[in-house]
Amino acid sequence: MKIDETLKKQIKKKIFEQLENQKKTQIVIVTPFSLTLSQKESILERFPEYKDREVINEIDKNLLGGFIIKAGSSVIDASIKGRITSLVNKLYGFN
Amino acid sequence: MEALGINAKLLIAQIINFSIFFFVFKKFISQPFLHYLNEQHKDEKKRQDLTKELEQGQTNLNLEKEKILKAARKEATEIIAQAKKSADEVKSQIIADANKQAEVIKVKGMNQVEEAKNKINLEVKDKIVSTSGLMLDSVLGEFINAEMQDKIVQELLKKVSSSKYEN
Repeated sequence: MKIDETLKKQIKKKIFEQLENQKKTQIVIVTPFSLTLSQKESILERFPEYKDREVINEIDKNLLGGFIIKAGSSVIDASIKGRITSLVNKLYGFN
Repeated sequence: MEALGINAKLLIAQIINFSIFFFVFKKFISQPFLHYLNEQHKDEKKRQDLTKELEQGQTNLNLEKEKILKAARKEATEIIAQAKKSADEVKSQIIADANKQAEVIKVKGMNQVEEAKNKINLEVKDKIVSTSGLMLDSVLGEFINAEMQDKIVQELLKKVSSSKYEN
């Protein structure tokens, strides 16, 4: 079955729009343990620009400690793993 | 004369005989013989002159031969000296080239050693860094629990700048 090109483009556009809206209305906070309410409040207090966004908590044990905030194309890395990686990169001479 | 036993007629006849003999001898025997002897003498002289000339020629040839040999020896000595000089120059050039090549090989070898040393240093550094990272991950992974996470979050919130990484 062949889908009409115009229809195809419209569907793609709609999906992209939805994804963009979703990104604009959501933030993902990655933590090694479940995010507690107080932690969530502290984080949102520190970053007030995300206060109105829906917070989704993802668990990643590899982070060891701290958190990573993903908001659209922005990423704020405040994890122990990130610190270690940064340190290792410094030792390698990358930074 | 007869008393002396000499016969005048016989004497005259003998004188005439002798004169005839003398005339014939002188005319037909003595002169050709002398002529023959003179010719022989002349031939002998010619032979002697020729021999002298030959001897002189031989001497001249020997002298010429000696002269040529001397010149050839001199030329040979010069050629040998020139060849020796050329050989010495070639030898010096070969030694200089060999020294140059040895120096190049030495420098190349030293560079290779230096590169290998740097590579080993980097590998060791990589190993140390990666091992340290793994050890840190492992130790902290065992050490950090959910209770500590709260403190860590608070501490990191204090330290974290508003550094955002745009993808």
